Amino acid sequence: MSDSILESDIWLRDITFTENKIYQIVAPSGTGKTSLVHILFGIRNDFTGTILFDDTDISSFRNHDWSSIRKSHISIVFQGLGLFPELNISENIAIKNKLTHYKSEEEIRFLIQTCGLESHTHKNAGILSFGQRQRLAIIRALCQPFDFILLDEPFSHLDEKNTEICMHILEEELQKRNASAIITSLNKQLYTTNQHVLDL
Amino acid sequence: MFSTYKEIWKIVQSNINFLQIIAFSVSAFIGVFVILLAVYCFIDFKSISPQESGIFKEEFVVISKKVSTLNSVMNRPAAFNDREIKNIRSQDFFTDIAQFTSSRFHIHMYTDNESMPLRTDLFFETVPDKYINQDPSVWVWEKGQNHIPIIIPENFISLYNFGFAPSQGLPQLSKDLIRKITFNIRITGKGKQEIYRAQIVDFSQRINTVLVPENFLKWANGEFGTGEHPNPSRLIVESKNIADSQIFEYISLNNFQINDNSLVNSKLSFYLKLTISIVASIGLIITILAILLLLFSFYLILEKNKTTLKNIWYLGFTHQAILLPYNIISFISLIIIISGALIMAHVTNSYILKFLQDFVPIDTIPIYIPIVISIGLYIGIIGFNYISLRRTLQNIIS
Repeated sequence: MSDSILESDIWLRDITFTENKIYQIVAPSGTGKTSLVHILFGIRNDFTGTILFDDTDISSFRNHDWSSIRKSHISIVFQGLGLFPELNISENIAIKNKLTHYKSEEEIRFLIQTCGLESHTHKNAGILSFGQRQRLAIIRALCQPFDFILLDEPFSHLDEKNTEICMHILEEELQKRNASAIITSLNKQLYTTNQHVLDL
Repeated sequence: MFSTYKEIWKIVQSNINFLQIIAFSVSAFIGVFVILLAVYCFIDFKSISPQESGIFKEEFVVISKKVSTLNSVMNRPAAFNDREIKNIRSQDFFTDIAQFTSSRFHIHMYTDNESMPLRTDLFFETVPDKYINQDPSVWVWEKGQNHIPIIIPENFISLYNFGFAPSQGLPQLSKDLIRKITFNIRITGKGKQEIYRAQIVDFSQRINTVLVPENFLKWANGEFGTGEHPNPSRLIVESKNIADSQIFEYISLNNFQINDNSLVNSKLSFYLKLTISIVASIGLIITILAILLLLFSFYLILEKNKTTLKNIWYLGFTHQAILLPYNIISFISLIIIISGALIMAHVTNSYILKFLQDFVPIDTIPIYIPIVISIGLYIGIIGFNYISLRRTLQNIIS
């Protein structure tokens, strides 16, 4: 077993993520950040050990349980973003918001504006820069109720200013929901004073 | 619903291959059309003289022995003896055998009607009631009943209408009119005489004799008959497949003969039955291939858009919601295809009927059977499609 795993704050440990916190999970490339996010989101089940949501073992969840968890309890920003290149910015957001009816059009417009995407609303996601797409994916992930939001290297292509804007929005949204965020990144970065750093 | 899933629709639309959907629609249309047309033909043939078409019941033929000059000279009737009957009964290709019973008393038939003074000497024969496809309330005789139902051969009418009537200056008679005439039947034998009223209830093409109910003839033979029990001159034999070559071989080897008309009918109905079955099977195969084409085309679309489908699934949509556009497409296209094929089959069948009605009388056919079959096909295909799509999606995204 490699030293990095033995020194990990997560692998082979009992760890509890609680509400109202921001967890930053730091690890170099290829050490399992994305795997962890996918496991927590129910996409991968090739792990040993037990993961409990409240008191329920996630291995007992069936497809429709995951559908409702993803709709109302856990949101995600994938490293690959998972946007639809054939839809424009508004449609990419609408596809989620029509499912949850969480945000008003006003609120969505405000978020698009704050993230500096208002001039691209009708552009297909396929032709946006990766940085623009990252911001779009974050906005989309906020269009639902959740207890936890998983963000897999969400700011990798954003400059400092945009990272700050997104982080500010995220903190506000977390407060509204009394929710927590689990953010992965390559390096330790200080996003906010309230963050818990964990080495993977 | 459409606005909620507008974006999913847009994604599906940009990924779907409409050429494949059209190819499916055309082939499914042809397949369903052929199946339904075969169903229509089946009903048509059933409604053409249902009592004699032979398509829907075990078939029978009437066999007799050849009358030779020796028979005539020796005054020995060409009849089947017990050994021959036993031998016929033992053949595998015959499923049942029955004897004709003849009247053994004198019969005279006449009308009271002065404008149509008909009178003739006559004979009666009978076969077991199961070969007579008549309403049991009509084809019945009970002891004490004065009224006797009769079936005469159809060619008797032709003989009368086109031969006898013109030559004697008598009016020609339609079948309906003949059914309405009441005849007097005078039966004489054993020194007794009795007069009965008789009515012709039907006309037979296959059994070339004057038929009365079995009950009546058995009773009358006892009452008026000479007491002799001659061997039967004709037998009725049933077979699952009357066009079987073994039967012809057996008949000719034993110097028997078959009523040719009925053989033509049987052969024809056998080939019709075979043709309709083959056509229906081809229709079914085309339909199955078309359904597989649709499924395969959906499968390719789903497989090609694996990532997109996963992304929709991760947003929190259920499998049903993801498959909704595909199900709606198959739902609507199948409604159009099957109703189109049903209308087309109905129209085609109307043309066939128009053509056929010049030759044979046809009752109006019950339309509900093709409709029920169409609905059955629809539910079956939709159900199969729905289950297959769910399985495919499950395999692809999990």
